[in-house]
Amino acid sequence: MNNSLTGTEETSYLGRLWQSIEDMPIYNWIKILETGDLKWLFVKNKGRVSSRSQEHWMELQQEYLDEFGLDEQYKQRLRLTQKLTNLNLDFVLTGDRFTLNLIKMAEADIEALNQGESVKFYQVLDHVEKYKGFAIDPKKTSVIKWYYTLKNISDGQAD
Amino acid sequence: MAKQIKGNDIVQSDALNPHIAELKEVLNLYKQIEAQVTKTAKDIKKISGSADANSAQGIQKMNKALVDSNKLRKESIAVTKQKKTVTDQLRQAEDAEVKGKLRLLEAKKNQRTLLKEEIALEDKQIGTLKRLAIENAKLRREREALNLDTKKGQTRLKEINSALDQNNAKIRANSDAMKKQRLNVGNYGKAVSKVSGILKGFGATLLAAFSFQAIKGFFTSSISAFQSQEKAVAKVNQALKSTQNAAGKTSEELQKLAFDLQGTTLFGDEDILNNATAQLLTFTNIAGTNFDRTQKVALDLATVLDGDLKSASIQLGKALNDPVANLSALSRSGIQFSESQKQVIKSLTESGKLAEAQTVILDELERQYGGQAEAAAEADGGLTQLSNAFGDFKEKAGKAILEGLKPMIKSLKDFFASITEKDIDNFIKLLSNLGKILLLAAKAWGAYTVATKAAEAATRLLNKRILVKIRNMKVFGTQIFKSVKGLGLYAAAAALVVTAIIKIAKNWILAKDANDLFNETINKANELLEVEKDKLQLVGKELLNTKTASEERQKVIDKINAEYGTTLKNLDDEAAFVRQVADAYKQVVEQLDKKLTLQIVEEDILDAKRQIRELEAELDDFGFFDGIGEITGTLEGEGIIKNLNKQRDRLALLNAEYFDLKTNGEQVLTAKGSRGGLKERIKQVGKEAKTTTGEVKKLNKVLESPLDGILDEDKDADFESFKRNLQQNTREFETELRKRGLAEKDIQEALKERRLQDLKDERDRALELFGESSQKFLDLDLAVRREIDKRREEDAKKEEEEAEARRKADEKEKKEQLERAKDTANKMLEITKILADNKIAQIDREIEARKNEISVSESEIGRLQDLAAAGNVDAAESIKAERVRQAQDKIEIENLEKKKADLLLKIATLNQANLLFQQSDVNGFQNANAKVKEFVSNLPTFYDGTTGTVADALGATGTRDGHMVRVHDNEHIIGSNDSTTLHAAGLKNNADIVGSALAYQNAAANNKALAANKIASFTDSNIVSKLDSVEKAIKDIKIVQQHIDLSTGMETIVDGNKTTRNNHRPTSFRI
Repeated sequence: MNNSLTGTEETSYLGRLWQSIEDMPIYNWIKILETGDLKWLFVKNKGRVSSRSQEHWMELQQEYLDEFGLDEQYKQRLRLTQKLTNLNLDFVLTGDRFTLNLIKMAEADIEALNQGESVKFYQVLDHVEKYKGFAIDPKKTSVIKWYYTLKNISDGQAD
Repeated sequence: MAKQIKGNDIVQSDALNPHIAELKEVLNLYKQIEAQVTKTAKDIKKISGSADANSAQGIQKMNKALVDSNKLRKESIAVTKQKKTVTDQLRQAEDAEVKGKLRLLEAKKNQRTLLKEEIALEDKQIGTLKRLAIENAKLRREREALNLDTKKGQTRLKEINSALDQNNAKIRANSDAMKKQRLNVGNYGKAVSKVSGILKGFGATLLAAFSFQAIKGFFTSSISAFQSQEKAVAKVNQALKSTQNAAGKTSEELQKLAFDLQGTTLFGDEDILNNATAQLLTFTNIAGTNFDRTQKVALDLATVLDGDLKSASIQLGKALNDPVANLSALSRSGIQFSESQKQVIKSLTESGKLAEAQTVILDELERQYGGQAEAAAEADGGLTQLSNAFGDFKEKAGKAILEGLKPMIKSLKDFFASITEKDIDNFIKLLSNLGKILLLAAKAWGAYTVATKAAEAATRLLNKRILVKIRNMKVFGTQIFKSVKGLGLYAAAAALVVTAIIKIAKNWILAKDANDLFNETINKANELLEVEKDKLQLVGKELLNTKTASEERQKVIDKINAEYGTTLKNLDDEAAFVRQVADAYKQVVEQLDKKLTLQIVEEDILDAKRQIRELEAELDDFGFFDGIGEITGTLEGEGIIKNLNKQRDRLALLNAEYFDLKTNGEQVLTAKGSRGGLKERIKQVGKEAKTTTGEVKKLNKVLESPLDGILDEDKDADFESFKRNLQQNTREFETELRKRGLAEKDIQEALKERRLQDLKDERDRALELFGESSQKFLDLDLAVRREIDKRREEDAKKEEEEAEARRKADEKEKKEQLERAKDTANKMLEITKILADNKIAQIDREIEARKNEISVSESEIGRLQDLAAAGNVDAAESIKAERVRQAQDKIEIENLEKKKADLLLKIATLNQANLLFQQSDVNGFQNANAKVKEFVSNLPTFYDGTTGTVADALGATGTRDGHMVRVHDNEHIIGSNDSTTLHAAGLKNNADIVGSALAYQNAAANNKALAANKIASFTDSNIVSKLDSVEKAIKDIKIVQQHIDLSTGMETIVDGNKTTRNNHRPTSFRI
């Protein structure tokens, strides 16, 4: 039995998901980021999570990246990730135990990044609502709108 | 007799092998894991390196790479740790194995010592002193191992000390008795010293006589011995002088004491004077009887401390000279005093009673070590003493020579001035004869030296394994026998000649007939020599063949004594000397024989490697081959022999290693399948062993001469012993395999290999011993060849059987594959048919729809025509449009029909191919393929054609006359009325029109093909023919090609080979 979906089935399946960051509410987006549960991709917040939904989530993230790019902190995290990966692999390939020291240092750097001030989504939402002067319903605000709002606030362009 | 130690008693030499193999396997596994981890690391690196940080997937890859690399790092650390643990365990196991082997060797060595002692104790011929010395050694060993913390240990200590005291007392008593007997050694020394006394007189003559190179050595050593003795005496004198004779002894007394001690110990008097007396004299607190006792104890102590007399004397001297300060120094040599003894010694010393303190010390030392030097001399069989006695003789001879020379030097000038050249010539001739006789005497001395060394070696060799050397020993023994049995004779001859020389010397100038006198003396001496030679040979035989002196022997000796008077009155001593030498030789041979027997029983390849190496070193030290060369002057190539032995050692070593590896290898192979590395190693070791065997063979060729010296029976015995050895090893090997629980089949296989190897070894041995042309070698060589041929045949047969089994398995596998393929083909065809049916149904629906549209269009045209008739101007245009639409629909219908036909044909073809395939045998794939391929390649080219009729196109039945073109029955004919319409619909030229017309031709062909297909009742026999029918049906379709030149109205019709041209005049057709 072939597990791949036929064209019709796929169309039907994808039809039940949020199609883009333009229509996906920030609430669902944040939920996925927080829990990793892809059921939040579904419009009705329920459905069978499959590899196709995983792919779809990647597509949405790619959409986000295309729109907003990566912030500097995340870039730094990626650089450290890359560095730590390489150190791990160097250790495995060379057996040089000195590398273990470098690994510890890199891990400490990543840990330091993680220990930066962590702000909850609802705290941000609260700030934004105060800034804007009206309530924002995260279930009705699209991802793209939310991030543009943040971007604008951050750029000082918000009205 | 002590139980012989076998390997398993100490440690099972291979007990760790399975464990080691297991650890190696685990280690190998870790290495594989490590390799896998490394590979994975490289893969991750590749993925991580290619990840794009600007894409979501790239970021995901990077994060995943981090997680994976973390895991991998931890795994790598864990693997490294575990690998290290396993490596350590492996090393420990290997160390334990080596240590076990070393312990085994050590235990065997100890066992041999014990064995030797027990053999010695069981030997009723052994002397009391030796027995006591052995018992003492055993007691001392036991004492060292005692646990003095326990009461039991303390009690035993007392018992041991008491036993030691008793034994020492006996030793002392025996040595006193022995001193009296002295084995004629002293007498012999005295006898020869008398000869040396006579020597004093012959000065210049002797000088000239001994100018021969061969005798020169004797003189040199005599003078050297004398000088050495003189130096020792001078040293003693100097010590006496410098200590103002604190010891209270004169030089003569000390020399006599040394001389007496020489008679009962292994130390020469000059050695005693030099290293004991002179040293002890420097300690001024030792005097009187204590000095004598100290010197004696020094000899005992030196005997225990491996003969270092000087160190022992100094050590003792220090301790006795100042007991309080230096007593503890003795403990470093293992001499222990109890606390109470120490206390007594201290208080005596401090109270000025030094002599008494020394007595306490000497008492204890005598209790512990008393009689050791004498026991050693007894154990030595008196041979060292003989050597020392002969040394004395040389000392005295040297003295005589030097003293004789002094007065003669002056008269020599006169003497040489007075003699004529003729005198010199004659004298030289005489001396030549004399020289020859003395040369023989010198050779006898050489033989004696070697015999002494042999006796010495006998004791040392008892512990050595000398399987390889035994042949050489026999050669050596034969030479000793030949030389030794005439020793007394030569001594007698030498004495006679010396007498003659003395006479000549005295009368040289006075007597003109000195020459004659000398000749007469020599002749007489020769005659006597001949007579006595026979007698002495008889004596020699008796001495060697009987244990006690016979009357006959006594008679001979008496006669010789009577004959030679005082000069040779000690000839019976000579005979005793000969007996001793002969006994020594006999002892060597006996001990070696015992050793050989032990060797066969104890054969252990690892041990042999070690022991033979030790033996080599010992023999090198001993100068064994130097001795042989001294006697025979013929046996050369010691270097080669050593090399040979070395190679044999190497071979033994490799054999051992090979054996182990092979056994392990077989076990591993049986249990786990092939292990490349191990197999390679076995091969490599095998190769090395082979190479070494080759080298041994080459060296053996070079050494043919020593081997030739072996008697045939020795060779046979050697060969039989070698065979027994091999058989024994093979039995042990079999036992070993069974112990390891291998399958019977594997055991038999291993034994088969082993037996072939044994056969090869036997053949090589036969070649070595009996040569290439010997029957034994030829038989064995033939047997080896036959065995190898047999193996080859068996291997070939086995291979053939395996190939047949493989072929059958392949066939079975093919059949199964075919069945699976048939099943799959059926299913696929079913699916394809369903899909095709669906598609055909869809096509039918579309055709139906098109037809409906045409039908609707016809109605519309009818309505439009009515409108047109009613005067609607646009109606005509609409009608035209409808016509065009209809034409398009028709073309579409044609296309759909064609598609449908194609599908049907394809399905039919597939169906037939499948049926053929289903009926096929194991070669079905090829057959079906070939057939389908042939079928497809033989299909005719389809041409475009037309379907329908003229009426379809023109709405009326067309005839040839009234129409533009004439086509084949099945072709469309395009009428003039519709040409404009057609052109408006896009069919602008004849190619388009013909293309449209020909489209139906395919359908016709397909229908025909399908009709043929339907008749196929697909039995096994007619599938191919039915396929042929399909092919034929398709081929039989006649395709007509039509070409119309619209400008001239010329029509060309090609129907197979027939071409028809019709000229139509264009009337209403227009472009």
